[in-house]
Amino acid sequence: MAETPASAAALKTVTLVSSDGERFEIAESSAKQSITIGNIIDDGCCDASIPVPNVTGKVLTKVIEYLKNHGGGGGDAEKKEKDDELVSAPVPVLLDYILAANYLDIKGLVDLVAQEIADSMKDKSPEWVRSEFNIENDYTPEEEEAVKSHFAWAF
Amino acid sequence: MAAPPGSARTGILGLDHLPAALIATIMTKLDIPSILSLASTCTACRTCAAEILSFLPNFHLPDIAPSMDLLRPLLPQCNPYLRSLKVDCTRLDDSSLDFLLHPSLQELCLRNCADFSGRLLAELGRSCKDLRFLYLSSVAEKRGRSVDVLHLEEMLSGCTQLETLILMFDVSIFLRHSFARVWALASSKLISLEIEYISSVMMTELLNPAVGLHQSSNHPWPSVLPNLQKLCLSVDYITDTMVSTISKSLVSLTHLDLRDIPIMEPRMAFDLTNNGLQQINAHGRLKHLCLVRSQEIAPTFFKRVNDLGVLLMADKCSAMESICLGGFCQVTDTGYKTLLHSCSKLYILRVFHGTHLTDLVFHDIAATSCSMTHVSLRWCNLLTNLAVTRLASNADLSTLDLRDCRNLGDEALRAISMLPKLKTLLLDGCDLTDAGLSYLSKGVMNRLVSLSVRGCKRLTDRCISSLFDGNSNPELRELDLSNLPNLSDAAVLLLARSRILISELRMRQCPLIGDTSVMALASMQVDEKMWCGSSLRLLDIYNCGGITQLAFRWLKKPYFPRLRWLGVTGSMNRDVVDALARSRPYMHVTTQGEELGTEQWDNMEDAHLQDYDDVDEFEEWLLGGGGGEDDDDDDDNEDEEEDMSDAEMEDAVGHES
Repeated sequence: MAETPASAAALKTVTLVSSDGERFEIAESSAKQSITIGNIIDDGCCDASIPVPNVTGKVLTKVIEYLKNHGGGGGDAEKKEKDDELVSAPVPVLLDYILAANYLDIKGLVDLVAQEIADSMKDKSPEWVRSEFNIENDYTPEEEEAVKSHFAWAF
Repeated sequence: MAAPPGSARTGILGLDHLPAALIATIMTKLDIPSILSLASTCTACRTCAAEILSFLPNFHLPDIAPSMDLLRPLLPQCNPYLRSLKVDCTRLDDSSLDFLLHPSLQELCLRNCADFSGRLLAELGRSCKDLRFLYLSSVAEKRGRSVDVLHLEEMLSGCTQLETLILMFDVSIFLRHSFARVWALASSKLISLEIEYISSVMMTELLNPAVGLHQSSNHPWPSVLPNLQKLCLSVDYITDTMVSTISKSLVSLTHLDLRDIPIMEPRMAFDLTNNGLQQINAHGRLKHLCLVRSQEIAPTFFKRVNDLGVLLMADKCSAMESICLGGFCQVTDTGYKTLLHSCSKLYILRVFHGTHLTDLVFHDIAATSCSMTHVSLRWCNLLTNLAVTRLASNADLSTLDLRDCRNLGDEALRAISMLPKLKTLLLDGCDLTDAGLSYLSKGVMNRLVSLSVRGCKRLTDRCISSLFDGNSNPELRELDLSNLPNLSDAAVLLLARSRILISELRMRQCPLIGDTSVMALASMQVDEKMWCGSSLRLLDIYNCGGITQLAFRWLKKPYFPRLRWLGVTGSMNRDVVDALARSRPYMHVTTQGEELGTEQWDNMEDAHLQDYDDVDEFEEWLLGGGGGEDDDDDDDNEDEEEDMSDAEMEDAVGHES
């Protein structure tokens, strides 16, 4: 919900509406961490509420939590703790987060989730990565043989 | 930036459906092997990987020695963003030069260049003019390869931006006078120089060419390496002349690291004495000092340095932050204590072979203003638990190395157990029991990254259970359980079940360790998914009593997928070992008991390079009168300084078996 800072200017909030109609209020300054939202605000066209059609309420909740966490103020340890909590979600959810962050152009969140995904797939075999991240194997058998023998040393 | 369909609804989104830019972002955070693993999952990822590799700024392959065939698809010819390249060049030679040397490189680390000729140096000077950091090891060491001082000259004059230069090969192959001359061409930006190995005479001449030409001392010393701040050398003998030349010529020196490995006891003119020690830090800038005499070849020590020298040195070194003294067998508590009390900013203290160092040195360490982070007291046999208790008052301690201090026991561990920042703990050869280690389980164990209890012969399986039972996921990565006669497979089973992401496990010479341990480690499941195998990169089971051919079946792929270093006993299972090495060509397999790992390449400061079980005999020889003053001041004695009998020489060389 709305922040409680002192000055009037900082009280300015915007409302984001998810694809399934949930409404979220957030301080404008925090919202501007999303370049996409920032552009919309600056263009002045959606003063009332900003629709975010590609992101569901569930995901948008978490994105907004991130924006608020990094909106300014608060200790680094606290921020890290909240970030760690955010990325402890299961893989499909993580993929949702990174897509949302990408759409909303929030570099910090993209990097955070990307790092988590990278850390989890470090040193793993292709089979594991496929099963974990629901990747469809579209190699032909010959291609797969070739790739396997080429890069066998790596895994 | 449009989201792909299905993202919100079913959640069965695959990573391959992410926009290419996102996959690329994830890939930039992976190391090369993981990028290739991801690339092997689907064609979309493969395309991404190819793209990434064409603009990857850092190309590091730490554990394997790739062939050209392996490298070619990975390292595209024109990657204008390539800044840092680190490769093991065991399988490469001069024909790879064009491929490796990119003009955009700023950081280059090439190990094991034995099959290259000096052309490597020359080409570096020609192609990589932007280089800031250069590390080269074993250049042209293979038979038939040669390197000439002209090559060195081209490199030094071409790389004008060079700031750090590390040459890990014997530079005494170069002609002395030519060698000294070329250093005048070195970049004036050079601030860090490390050479392993150079003779002290060559080093002296390098810094003061006038010495070689017998010019009068009225000539101003030509400034060679004028901005050098860090100098690390491995020499034949640390001498007064070299130390004083270094101290006088290098006005900006903040970091001095000298090690020698004498083949025999040096004569007075070729040794470090109190006079030399006094010259150190002539310009007052020194912050890190390391003087170590290694006993790797012969049991030699700094016999001509005593407390007086240390006191005079301490007088000028009150700004020191890191001190490492090895082989100063005549220095007593007075000397060490003076150092602790004079150097208020000291945070690293390392003493090897502190023969006369006792608890008294640390008696009032809490009263000094030092806040130690790294303390290393190796082969200091007069230390008792009391010293450790006092040391533990340094709450900032992150590395504690107490190897081969035979009188340390369980009480020392009780004192250490509450250190909040301890990451590395080395207790080889200490008199510990299971009870002692159990003190660690409550506090320190949750934070330790590296633990070694090699040779603590009284330890049994119980210590493993007290350390790892109930600890679901500590930070531990390196564990050394070598030379423990009571360690059995049950302990390793427990370790495997604890699901710790151990990357280095050493269990050398444990008679009860057998095939079951290997099987347990191979089946180690870090999580509930398909991942079969373990995170182990290094496994040393050299000379373990119960290892048979069966174990080797579990060392093959797909088990131990990340294993890069394996130590086994070659003699008993020759064919099987060869077959394994062939099936895993990028794994280093040692069969003669050599120590594993690459640490010794990186860090000259890591003095646990030599591991010899027979040190006690040196000690006894030394204290028993072999270390007396009889030969010291008589430098007229030009005879062979055969202080040791053949038997002692054999012991001195040291062997693992």
